Amino acid sequence: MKNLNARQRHVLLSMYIDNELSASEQIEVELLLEKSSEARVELQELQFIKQTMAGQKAPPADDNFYAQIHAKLPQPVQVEQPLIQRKFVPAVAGLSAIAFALFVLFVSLQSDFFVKFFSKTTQNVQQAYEENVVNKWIMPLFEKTNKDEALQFAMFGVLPLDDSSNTVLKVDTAFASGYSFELGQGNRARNKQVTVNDLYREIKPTEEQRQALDTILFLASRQIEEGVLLDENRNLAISPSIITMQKSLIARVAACLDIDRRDRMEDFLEARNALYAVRSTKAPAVSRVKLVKQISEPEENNTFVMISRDTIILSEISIDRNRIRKHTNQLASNEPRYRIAYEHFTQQVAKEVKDIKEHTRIVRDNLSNVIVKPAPVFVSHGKSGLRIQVKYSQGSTRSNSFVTAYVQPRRPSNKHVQWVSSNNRRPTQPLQRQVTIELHSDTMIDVRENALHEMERELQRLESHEFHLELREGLLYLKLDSLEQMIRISTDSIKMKLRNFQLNDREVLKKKMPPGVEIRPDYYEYEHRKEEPSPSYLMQQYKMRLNEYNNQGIQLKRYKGIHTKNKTTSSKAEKKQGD
Amino acid sequence: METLEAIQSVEAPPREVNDEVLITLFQGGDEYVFRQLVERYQNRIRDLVHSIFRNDEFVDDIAQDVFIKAYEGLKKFKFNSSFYTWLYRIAVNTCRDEMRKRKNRRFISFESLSESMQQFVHNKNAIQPSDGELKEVLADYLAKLPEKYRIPIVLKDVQGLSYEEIADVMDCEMGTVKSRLSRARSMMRDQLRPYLEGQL
Repeated sequence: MKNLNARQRHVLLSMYIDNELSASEQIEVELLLEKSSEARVELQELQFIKQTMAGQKAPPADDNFYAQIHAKLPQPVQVEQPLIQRKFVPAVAGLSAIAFALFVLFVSLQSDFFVKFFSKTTQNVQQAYEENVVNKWIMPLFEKTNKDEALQFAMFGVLPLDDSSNTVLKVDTAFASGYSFELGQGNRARNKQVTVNDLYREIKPTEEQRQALDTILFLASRQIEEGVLLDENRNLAISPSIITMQKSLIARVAACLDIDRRDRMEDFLEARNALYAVRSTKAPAVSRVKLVKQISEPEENNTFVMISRDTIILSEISIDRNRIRKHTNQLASNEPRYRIAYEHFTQQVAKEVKDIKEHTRIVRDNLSNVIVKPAPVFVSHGKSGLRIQVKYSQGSTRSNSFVTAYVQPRRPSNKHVQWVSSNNRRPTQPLQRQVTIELHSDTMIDVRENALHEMERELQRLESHEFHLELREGLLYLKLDSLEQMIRISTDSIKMKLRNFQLNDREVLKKKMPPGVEIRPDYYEYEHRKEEPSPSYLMQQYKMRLNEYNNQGIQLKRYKGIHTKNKTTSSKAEKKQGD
Repeated sequence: METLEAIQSVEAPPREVNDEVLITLFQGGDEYVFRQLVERYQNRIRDLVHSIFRNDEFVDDIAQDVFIKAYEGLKKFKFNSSFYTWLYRIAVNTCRDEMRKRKNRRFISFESLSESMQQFVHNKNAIQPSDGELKEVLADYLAKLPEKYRIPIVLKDVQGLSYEEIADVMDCEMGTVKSRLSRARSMMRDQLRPYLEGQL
């Protein structure tokens, strides 16, 4: 053994307790320890220090740790835009007639169906939905999709819309020039029997393959969550990527398996009568990174097919997915999440489609607020409900060669698409109509980027309106009667706007208020502080508000008005008396 | 609350996706996943900052700065090292910057520090301190070690990184890590010896 000085010995012992020595060095140290009691004491002391050090922990993190980071992240200060960007298309006015014709026809054909279809509801849940979901502007319809549901969707093309009934969204890509989906009744019993564990049990993936499958199914479940959305007006938006995802998911699962396991997967799919079969291929397993990168590539065509509750007119609109992600993420971090049965949304549809006169106006308004792409849309009865067929237009999501290399339809002439063929089994029933909406490149499009115009117009008319103002969850809420809906914009923007109208000063604000109108103390405090309220302050405010509601036995409200009409009336009366 | 009772509150199912996938998603424009990265590493980064500074007050501020810097740099992350090594490097550099800012207040000469610590340990030793108190003593002393010794010992003993990872994080040679760690432990052992003799 080498003669070691104290420093060398200390270095070796230090590395010994860290398990960082080579085999020969380790033997050397162990011999030293056998011989030297001094070394043994030193080792014990070093181990004691190391163990004590290992217990050094920071106090638990604040619940708002991420919220605080989020607030500091660099992001442009801008007006909170509607998550569904609505674009104004003057030239589309002429289309309203066509669309309305479709609507009337549709309602007349479908009303019975809808009434039956959306019959169940409970007032409480409906109210909670109204207050907690609708006012949040947009929500994923399948907000809790798990891997089992993603697999079931891949195998059977069916997404259950609620737990209590058999309502499902069915998709079908089995015809060449487009895709279709159907809202209707489904049989969930079969789907429920298939789980990811069943798949793993049968194909016995390696650990690496299992990780890849987990990742793919996780991403698929998230894609489903982001692919079907409800907005604040209870419009339903469905991403075309959902349609092709069914096939591509099976293809990706197959692609990451080796040839033997791919065969087992085919047996698995066949035994359960899945819609797609694995194409026999000798292609090697694709790496997880490659698959994931392929999935995460942003969609070129970021459009959704939108079904309006008022009109049931189909259009394609642009939706900013990043904003949706950010928004839903924010909701998840700030508030409890609720499972809302789909039937309550759809029940609302049934109620509202009855009044056609009223909806004439809404149809026109809605049409002026969407961008209609040249995507031929077909509406008809499906086997079990409303069936919508969208033909591919340039840039639409389409299966790529990767997908077709790995899967093929098990039933090439899928019965689900018979309804669009000339051999319709119900030829005598006028259930099928075709509407083609086309806009050309020279069409004038006036893009309404955000809510600023609305705000300006409404603020100019401020004095003639009741004024509701409330600070909550980092946002200032402003309600004007004429808007009939809450306008929500960022605090910075509202401050800026108020400044423009010389309303940022408390006294000026008071003068601008109609007589008798009160302003929430929150607002004073915010203005008085002259700085951005911290997230913890906002959360505190929010929790206080919730407690307040609970204590008063008030059901969870998204918005609580500042004053009542009675107050305003009496104030006006007082003013008259004063005059 | 009738309404609330009517609604089924559901916990989100746990989902484990590795860092590589999350970063790929982030770089593809999916900034939402950054939250998952933060949640995954926030405790480790906070522990690191806490061990280095020994001050509960600004642990969160510094840890948040670390994540903000990570957010700003993540788009350019090249996967040349693991994400957590990269994150630790940011954390260590942030802590170093912070230490430099506070240098005038925080650091006194090491010699005088040793004397005061000896005194402190002797005082503590008069009545046998508990394990919790020993941790306090150790942490206090650790916080007063020079930066170049403090950081490697925290990375090793608190965070459990390997020598290679520490060298990567600190951007130095393995030999430097070995000697600094050894020196750090030697200093701590010298200062704590009176107490250690009572304990072992």
